Amino acid sequence: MIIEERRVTIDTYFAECAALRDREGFTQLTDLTVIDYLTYGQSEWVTQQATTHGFGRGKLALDLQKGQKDRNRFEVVIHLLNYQENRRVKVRCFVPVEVMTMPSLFEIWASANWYEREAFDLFGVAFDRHPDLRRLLTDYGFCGYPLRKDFPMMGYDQIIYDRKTEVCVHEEVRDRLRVPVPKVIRFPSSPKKEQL
Amino acid sequence: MTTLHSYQLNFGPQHPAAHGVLRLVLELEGERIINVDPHIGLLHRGTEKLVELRPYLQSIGYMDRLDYVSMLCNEHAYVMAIENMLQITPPKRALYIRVLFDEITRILNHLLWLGAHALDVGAMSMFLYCFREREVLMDCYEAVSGSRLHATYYRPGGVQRDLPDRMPLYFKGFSDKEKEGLNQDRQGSFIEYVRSFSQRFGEHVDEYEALLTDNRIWRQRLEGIGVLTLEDALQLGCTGPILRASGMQWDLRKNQPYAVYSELNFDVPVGKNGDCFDRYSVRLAEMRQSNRIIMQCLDWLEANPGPVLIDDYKIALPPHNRSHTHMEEMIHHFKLMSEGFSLPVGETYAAIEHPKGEFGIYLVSDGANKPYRLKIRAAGFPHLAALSHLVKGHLLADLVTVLGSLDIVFGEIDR
Repeated sequence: MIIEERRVTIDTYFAECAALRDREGFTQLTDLTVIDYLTYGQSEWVTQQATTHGFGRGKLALDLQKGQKDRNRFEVVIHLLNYQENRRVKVRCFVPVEVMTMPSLFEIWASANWYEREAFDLFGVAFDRHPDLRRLLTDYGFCGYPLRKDFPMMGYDQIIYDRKTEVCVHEEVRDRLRVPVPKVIRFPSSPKKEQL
Repeated sequence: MTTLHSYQLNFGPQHPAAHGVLRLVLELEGERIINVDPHIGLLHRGTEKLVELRPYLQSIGYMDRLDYVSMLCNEHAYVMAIENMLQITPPKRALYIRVLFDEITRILNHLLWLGAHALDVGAMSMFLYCFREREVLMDCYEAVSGSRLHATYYRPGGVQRDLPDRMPLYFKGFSDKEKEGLNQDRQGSFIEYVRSFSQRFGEHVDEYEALLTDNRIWRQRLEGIGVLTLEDALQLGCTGPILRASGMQWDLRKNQPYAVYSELNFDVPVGKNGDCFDRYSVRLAEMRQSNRIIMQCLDWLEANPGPVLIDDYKIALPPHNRSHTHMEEMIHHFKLMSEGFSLPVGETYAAIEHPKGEFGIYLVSDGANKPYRLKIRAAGFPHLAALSHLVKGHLLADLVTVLGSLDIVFGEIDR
């Protein structure tokens, strides 16, 4: 199944989506998600140069500073489905980093409601004119946006039961993350973002 | 004196009718529901984050644990996404085995749904009947994969191993007479075992229908409850049996066929009113259709032996005996088990007709051995989001019926 791709800018995002529903018959919003391009194409283990001793064993840390100021760090991708013509289309749009806000699609497709709440919860992208923008999946009182690439896998704090005071307390995560298999890039990466 | 117009009631997170950990904050006026605010995420395990850390092969097991009552269907979408990216096609026998297990899974899922739904509405005995049949199908899972629930059976490029020639037998802890009964269907191959189930399953569905379909209490509880018009169903993102119950003739197995569904004969049952009763009828009819597909798969599989995994050791593991005795295969085994394979730069969206609706995997790769981003389009997610629309104005007791008819499983909604 071939999925058409449309790239739009923030200015035309809402109007294009409305047109897709009204003029092209995309009656359903199948999915809405965000991609964080912070570490896109970065390898944790460079194996290109073999020495006489073999390959290096050291694991490189991902550079989390590199893409921080990238204007095109976050991208919203939505999948639409046209039932009459059996067509799928995906619309992609970069999120403006200064405001981190997108227009909400709730007025076009009601199913955007929870998808946008989820995107807000996990990526910290706000949606303008969303009727009820609260966190959805994370715990009550949670801080941070867990699916961003600079959010550590283990998180920042953990809840433990303190035997002395007999209450649950928050404390800093003590365990360090072990990465058993480093990320290795085997396919020459064409910088996708520039291409588009 | 102050008069109380409406009040809030907390439903869950631990409630037998919530089908998992769901917290609903209800706004009620007497017994009438004004508004529902579902609080989800109590089973959030961060699957989408976890898979970003692991090579592709290691994440198959996470897919089982999404919707934990239709395990192999989740895996199917995941391996299909990887196959799309690698542009490989598994051997035909593997595709037939996948379809066979997808349909077994569909029956498993619908049986659990039927049992639990009937239990919620007040028919206790359905649960026992449904679990009697589920037991047989669980044994099918166990026979091919060794696990009764989380099979991890599908692989990019096929399935992990072929169907067994013999079924395991009961031998300890039962009297001879009991053993005879338990082992009656297990004398032949796996295919014969499934066939004996398949032959009698139609009668079992008749039994369920005899208990429920014309039962006056059942109909009064379900008819006209939680009506969803087709327009609303599309707006709210509903798919699968819920969309079909609202009158849309749409099934990804027919409309966007994957695996070998285009070669099989089956019908797509469609409802009319979009109420709880139609959703029940559609799912029951779907079970019969799944049984039909299983029969066709069994016939094909019996007549066509062959490989079940592609012969490319860069992607699929070499046969077990060879990787212990041959150098080349051992290197491949080591490489696959440590670093794993990488996918080309790009992205794909693979959707399947999951028992609950459209289940999709949106996979973005930057050329590495791990997914850069993997978004799971859970089938139940928009359905639960539609709950407040469905129950507004209904009584509190109907909330449980509507919730049951949506077939909610938190493994996939919270991810």
